[in-house]
Amino acid sequence: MAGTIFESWARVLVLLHAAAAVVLVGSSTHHFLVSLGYLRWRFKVRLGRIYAAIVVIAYGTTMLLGALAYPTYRYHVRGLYFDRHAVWASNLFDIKENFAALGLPLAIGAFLLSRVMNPKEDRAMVVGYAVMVTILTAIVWFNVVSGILITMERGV
Amino acid sequence: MTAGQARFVAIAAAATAFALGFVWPAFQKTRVLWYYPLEHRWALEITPEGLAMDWYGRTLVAGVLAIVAYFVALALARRSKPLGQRGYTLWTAWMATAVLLAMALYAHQLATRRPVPTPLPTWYVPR
Repeated sequence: MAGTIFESWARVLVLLHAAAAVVLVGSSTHHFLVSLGYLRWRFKVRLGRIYAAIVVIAYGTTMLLGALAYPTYRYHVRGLYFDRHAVWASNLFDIKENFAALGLPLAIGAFLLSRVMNPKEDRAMVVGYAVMVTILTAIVWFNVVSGILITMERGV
Repeated sequence: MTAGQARFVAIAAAATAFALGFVWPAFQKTRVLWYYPLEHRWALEITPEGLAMDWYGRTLVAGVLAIVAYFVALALARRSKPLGQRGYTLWTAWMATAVLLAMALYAHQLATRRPVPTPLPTWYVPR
């Protein structure tokens, strides 16, 4: 049987990937709500900084665990099954992985900005921050829903 | 420019550079780092010779570009005039446009893709 790296760990990795994604979707949604509050003159700055830190850690962890399980998925799930019987899932996964990479600098950027930004005084910066957090939260929700749909079709 | 403003510019430049660097191989034939999961090897090439993955390579290149863009923009921004409302709007627009265009491109390219399945090995038993 053809072996991929971390193949025997793939199910555990995907389970931990899902657990990290649960933390990520919760923290990014709260972070989004806090950033919307900044636009409406409601300042929960400390909470915003905490959520930004949790998001960047959860995002990195989720991506890393997904990246470790990816070779097993690529051959055993996509190569042998999805590309034949569930092309939609194969394509959705690739959209999801590209979106995840594009969201990484936004997660790091929002965290770095949250450390220096004073939303009461830096009003012009708040809009850029909110845009960053909004795109990031949309990516996270899209990826979590896509991940569930793909795994429902077939997992590692 | 204040330290906070310089950091904002650097982050926007880094996110823009990441999106452009990540999406570049989709427009231009470029040598990318491919990982061959069954052979456990890496190769720098334009087109793979078999089952291979380019996501790691593209993410790595885009990450390096983003780090370079961050520090160059940070150094330049620290020497520049304070950022006005128009400056913030422009940097935000460039960043959002680059990220959203890259996302739209991948969604468009991949939504209608017809992948070529890997040949079934002799040991394969359908579940």
